[in-house]
Amino acid sequence: MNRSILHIDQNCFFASVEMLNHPELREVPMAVGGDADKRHGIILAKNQKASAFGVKTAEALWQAREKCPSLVIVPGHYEQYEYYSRLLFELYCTYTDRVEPYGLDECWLDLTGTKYGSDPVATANEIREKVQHLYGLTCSIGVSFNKSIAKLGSDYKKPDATTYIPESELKRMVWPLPVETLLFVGRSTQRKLNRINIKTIGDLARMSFPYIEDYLGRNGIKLWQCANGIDPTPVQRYNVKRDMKSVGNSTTTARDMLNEQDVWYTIVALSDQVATRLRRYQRRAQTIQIWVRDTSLDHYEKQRRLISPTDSADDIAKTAMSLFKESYDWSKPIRSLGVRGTQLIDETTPDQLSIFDMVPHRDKSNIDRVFDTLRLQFGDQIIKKAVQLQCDSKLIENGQTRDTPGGFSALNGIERKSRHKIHSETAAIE
Amino acid sequence: MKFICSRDRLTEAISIVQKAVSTRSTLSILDGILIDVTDKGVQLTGYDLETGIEAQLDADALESGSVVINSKLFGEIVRKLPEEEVIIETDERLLISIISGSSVFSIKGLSAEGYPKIPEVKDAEKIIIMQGILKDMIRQTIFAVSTDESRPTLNGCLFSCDGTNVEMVAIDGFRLALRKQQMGMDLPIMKFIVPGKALHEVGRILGGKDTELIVYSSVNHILFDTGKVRIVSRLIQGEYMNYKSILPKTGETNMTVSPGAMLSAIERASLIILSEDRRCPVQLSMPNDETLVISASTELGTLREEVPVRISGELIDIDFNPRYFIDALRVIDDGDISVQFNGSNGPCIMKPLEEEDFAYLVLPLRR
Repeated sequence: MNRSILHIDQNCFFASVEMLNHPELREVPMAVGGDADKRHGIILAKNQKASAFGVKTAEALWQAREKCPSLVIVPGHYEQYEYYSRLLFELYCTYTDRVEPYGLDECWLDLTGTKYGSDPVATANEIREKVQHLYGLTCSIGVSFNKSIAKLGSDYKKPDATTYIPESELKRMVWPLPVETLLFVGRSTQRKLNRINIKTIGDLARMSFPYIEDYLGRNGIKLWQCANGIDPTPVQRYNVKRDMKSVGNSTTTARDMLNEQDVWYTIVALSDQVATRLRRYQRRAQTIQIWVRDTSLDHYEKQRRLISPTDSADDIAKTAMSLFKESYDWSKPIRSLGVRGTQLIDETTPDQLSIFDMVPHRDKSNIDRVFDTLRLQFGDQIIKKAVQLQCDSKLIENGQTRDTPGGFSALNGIERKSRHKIHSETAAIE
Repeated sequence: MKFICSRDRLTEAISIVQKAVSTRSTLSILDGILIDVTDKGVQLTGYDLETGIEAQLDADALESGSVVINSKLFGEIVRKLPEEEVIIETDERLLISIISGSSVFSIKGLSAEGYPKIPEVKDAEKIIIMQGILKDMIRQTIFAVSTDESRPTLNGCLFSCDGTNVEMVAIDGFRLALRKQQMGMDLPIMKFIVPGKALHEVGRILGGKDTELIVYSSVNHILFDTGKVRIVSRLIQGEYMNYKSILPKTGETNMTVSPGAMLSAIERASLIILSEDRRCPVQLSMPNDETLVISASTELGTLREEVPVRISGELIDIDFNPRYFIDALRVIDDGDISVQFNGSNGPCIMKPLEEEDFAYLVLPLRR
């Protein structure tokens, strides 16, 4: 049976929300940017007027200002974006229960089997009208027979448009597109494909399958199938606890980390947040990973399987630190660090008692619970570990780090094409 | 260097020493087997800087000398040689000829001078033990050696001798295996931790019940010498866990059971417990003092089975990882055993009814 899949992409979502709240911004080239002082100084989103100057998402603020000296850069208001995002997803849920968010501003809808499934293009147009009418926002919608092609569709025509790509039009509409427009083709995969003269999706689709599999590995199988219109992945139900793969936090510190003490402060802050989130999601991690990027932007990852699964900040920090000490040679200062728990299991999974527990030791899980309770009531900043107080505030302000969505790209062997997008915690986790 | 030997003997010797040849070494010479021909005979050596194995080969040594040859290639060539008789010789350019029937291999060798020396076990204490006994002791404990590298001392078996008894202990954090052997003779007092990998190789080369093996140990190394094969291993340094404190003397529940009957029932239960989910429990419960009920319930279905037992003390209802019971029960060769439980969070101990020859401790899964 042919599926009716929609991919909805909000046009310049962050910038549009800012313009809703500050209509005067509509008249000038504007962009939402990170804080340059904290070295998050990149363009997160921009309006049409800024685009006209060639301002690009993810470029440095100074680059953008060079192109467009009159550019108005406003800071982001994430709670606002989350608010509108939730409203939109709620609207989509009136069409189908299969609404799978991909970040705050993108999602897939599966209309197959609903009363809207017979005419998905009309439904897409209706959704666009409603989004415009109810919230003053515009979106582009791709309508197709699977998720990856629908996603191409929403990129096909922007802003405020519906693009229908039926299976019969795959060769005509999709194959001429550059191969890097395909979901999961990042810069390095693109380079690899270009090297063997694969420039368009059609080039990829026409390659022999075993060759691509051999050349790109497991990743290649998926890409080749996508190029040929084969993508059976289902659209997840909204609000269903998705199969959480990992919980990670990462940060680019305000100044470079120069020694083990700096790294330890950072790891404590990151581990505290990872552990808190694990407990909130009622999961325990069986493997701890670290991700390290030095000042030359080279990065690597290390991981270790734990003897018993954990949701304790202390365990995570100690494991992460020992992974770090074993692997880093301090040839350069460190710019960014990430800590992440993977191979998650439900916290109700029976606990294998350990011999080490028979030897009496201080149980720290009670301390963790106190942290959770206080934070729930008074906010995240109400309590922190003493070590974080010693920490140079230039390193990590208020112990704030960023939740790492889905995964550090290289780890999955899949590059996120939309790397520049800010994927919220909810998108990655719930 | 030149010698003549039998293909099958050579294959056997290669497969023994290959276990100590590193497969992912940065030093290409460590990927090799050292062939040493002296007037005493022919010896093959593999050494990955942790474990070293030397095997004597029955051969006609015609000309002394030594050379290093890539282990994998050598093994594969010899296994495929056409005739039983094999002639191996080297020339001054270290080109190794392997001749059998009408096939003549010429393989580049490496100079033996670059091959690391296996440490000599000097000023050693020694114990003579029957091969069959040590083989059993290894088999009955090695499965509980930990592979978690964050506690290196548990990556080996504690091997100790108090003068008359030899004892081996392995702990992986969730279970313990202990095996004691009365030797009935005056032995040196010693205590050291042997890496699990070395013990595994020792277990493979040990043979008949009536042949002897000599174990030498120094501060840093241990040597197992069967005469034909010598295995040298680095010892793991550090303080072993004080396991005696975690072995309870008595249990709240005492059960007498045939290990075979209990094993088969738990093995049947594990059929429906998906192996990848190591946290799916087998449930042990006691409706009365003559029955042990073994049950499991997963997405695949359920099993319930009764095993006749004799029970004294509290009746229990506890979850366990079936793997831990299976590993222990499989290596218990005796008749009925005593199984002690200590409540739903305490350790369970399997022991012989009378003696203290072995003890297996497993910890439950908390519900």
